[in-house]
Amino acid sequence: MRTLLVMLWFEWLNLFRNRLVIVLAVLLLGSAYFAAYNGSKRVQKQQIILQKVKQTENTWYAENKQRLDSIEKGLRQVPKEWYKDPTNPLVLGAVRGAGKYAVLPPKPMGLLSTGQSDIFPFYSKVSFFAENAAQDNENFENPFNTALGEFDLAFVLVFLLPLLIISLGYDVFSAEREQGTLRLVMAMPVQLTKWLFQKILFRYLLLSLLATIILAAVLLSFAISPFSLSFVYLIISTLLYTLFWFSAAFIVNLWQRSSAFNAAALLSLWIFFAIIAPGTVNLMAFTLYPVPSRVVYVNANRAIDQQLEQQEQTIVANFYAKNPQFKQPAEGSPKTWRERFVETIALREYKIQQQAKLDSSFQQKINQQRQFANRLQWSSPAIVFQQYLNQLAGTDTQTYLLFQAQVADFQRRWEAYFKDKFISQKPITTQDFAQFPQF
Amino acid sequence: MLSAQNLTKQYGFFTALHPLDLTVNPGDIYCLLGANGAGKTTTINLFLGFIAPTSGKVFINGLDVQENLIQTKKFIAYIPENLMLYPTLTGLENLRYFSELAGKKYNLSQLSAFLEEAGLQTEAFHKRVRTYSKGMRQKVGIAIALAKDARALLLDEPTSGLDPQASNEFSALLLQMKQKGMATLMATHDLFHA
Repeated sequence: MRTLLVMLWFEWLNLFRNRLVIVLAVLLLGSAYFAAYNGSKRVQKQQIILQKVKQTENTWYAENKQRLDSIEKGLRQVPKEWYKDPTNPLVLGAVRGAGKYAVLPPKPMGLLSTGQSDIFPFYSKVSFFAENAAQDNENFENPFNTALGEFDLAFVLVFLLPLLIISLGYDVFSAEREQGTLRLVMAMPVQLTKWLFQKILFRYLLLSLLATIILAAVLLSFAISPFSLSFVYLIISTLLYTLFWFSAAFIVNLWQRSSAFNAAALLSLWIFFAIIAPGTVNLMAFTLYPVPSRVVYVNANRAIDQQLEQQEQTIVANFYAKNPQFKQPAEGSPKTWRERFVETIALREYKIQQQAKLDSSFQQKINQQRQFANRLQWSSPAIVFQQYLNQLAGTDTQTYLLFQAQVADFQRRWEAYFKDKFISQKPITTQDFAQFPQF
Repeated sequence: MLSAQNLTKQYGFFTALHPLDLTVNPGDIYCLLGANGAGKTTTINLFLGFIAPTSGKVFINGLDVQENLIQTKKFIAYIPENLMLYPTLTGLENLRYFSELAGKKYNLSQLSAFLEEAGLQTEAFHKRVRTYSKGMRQKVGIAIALAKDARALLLDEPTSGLDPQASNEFSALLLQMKQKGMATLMATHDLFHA
């Protein structure tokens, strides 16, 4: 044990006096800080948007509640225009400023990775007539996009850290041979593999310590506590990923080739795992499980609209038959606002059914693509690590899909509540505010 | 201490070493003299276990080198033609590092004593080895042999490139070690020193 510690001490002296450790620390600290700054800006922007939309929503409902309260107390007349009347379920649940925002606030570790946050929406407005509030337009494309272009902490850890490891580990053995010290070491009663392992182990421990300190310092400077479970997971996953690259360096060193060969071999591995493998998985997912383009989706939607136009009269007539409390207006007579909305609701019911069929066929293909990509993520530790960092940051696909499902459920509950109020022709009271569906 | 029995080494069709039998006893200085390519370094490398013989056997302290690669290295010290040490470490640090590798634990004054015995000037002990001349590095090599408590010294062209004074100092050191019972096998083409 003592000998091991002495060996490690000399490794430290060697590296420190070569200034390699200082260069690595400065590089890692600089890039980590810059990446965390980028991430914090993104998170801050999201928080400001969420704060604004929630504020708008709260103000709007507070004003309407106040107006309703005045009407209930007889201080104010019920407005003649239907769209100004707060007792009207459509005014509070469907039109103009009505509706509630379903929000996905960033996690404490949100700055760690952009992940899927630039593809999926992090808030959605739910109202009676909202068009597919759970999905955004980008949804049918690129399910495996890991936002390669973003310089975030995940980018530093997944892509840059291995390069630092390679610079620290590519020549552990070959440099000894090239500088001539290997022959003297070989003349000592030591097992060469064990000696090499100790040297690599020291570098692994050194970089692990450096990475832990730097990550803790950087996150602390952005008010994220390093004493959280998320931070522990971040460190454990980073150390495991680091271990993979040091193991690769150890194996390459065992081949006993030149430093140039080792560097080329390790860089090739990096290119394969960090660039080629994710790209190939993406390409294979798109090729084997193609999803029709958005144009096809839009055209299919148009076809539903055309169908709706052709069957409009039958659909509306059926609705009136099922809801006798509404009287169908005579053909050609001018329609009241209520009659217009009855028709809208009747047609919407039909459209939602048709749309659900279309969405489910598209969704099935996207899910197949995602499942395939998820299965192949094990082909590269870089993909696995990136996905895990996305999970820690709360920017992974699963989080967004769950959010979408919750938004869809919220949309259904909201719609059902206000539809019931409208169909039963019950006015909204201040008491109802507490009963409004919540996200 | 050192012996070779019918030792040969071939690289493909090229015979680097014809059958060799030799014995170096404690206190002997045995020189391998010959031109370049005569097989001197090959013999040293065979004793060090860096390469395996084509036929024959090499023994150190009665142990077959090929069968006891680690064990036999405890008895030997090696100084190549151009002894290279860790340039960022001092002479003293290099000595400590290699002593630890050899499984020997010394304190600072003991390590300094070895360097002194090897003839290195005291002021050089704490200087980084990258500032050392070849002669100074060879002295650290001798200090390593002393610290290692080696019983046999394998030298491969140790005086080549040394100035006459450094060369003489090195020879004097070898004679001192011979008197202590060190068995020395030296490859050289320096007839004068041999």
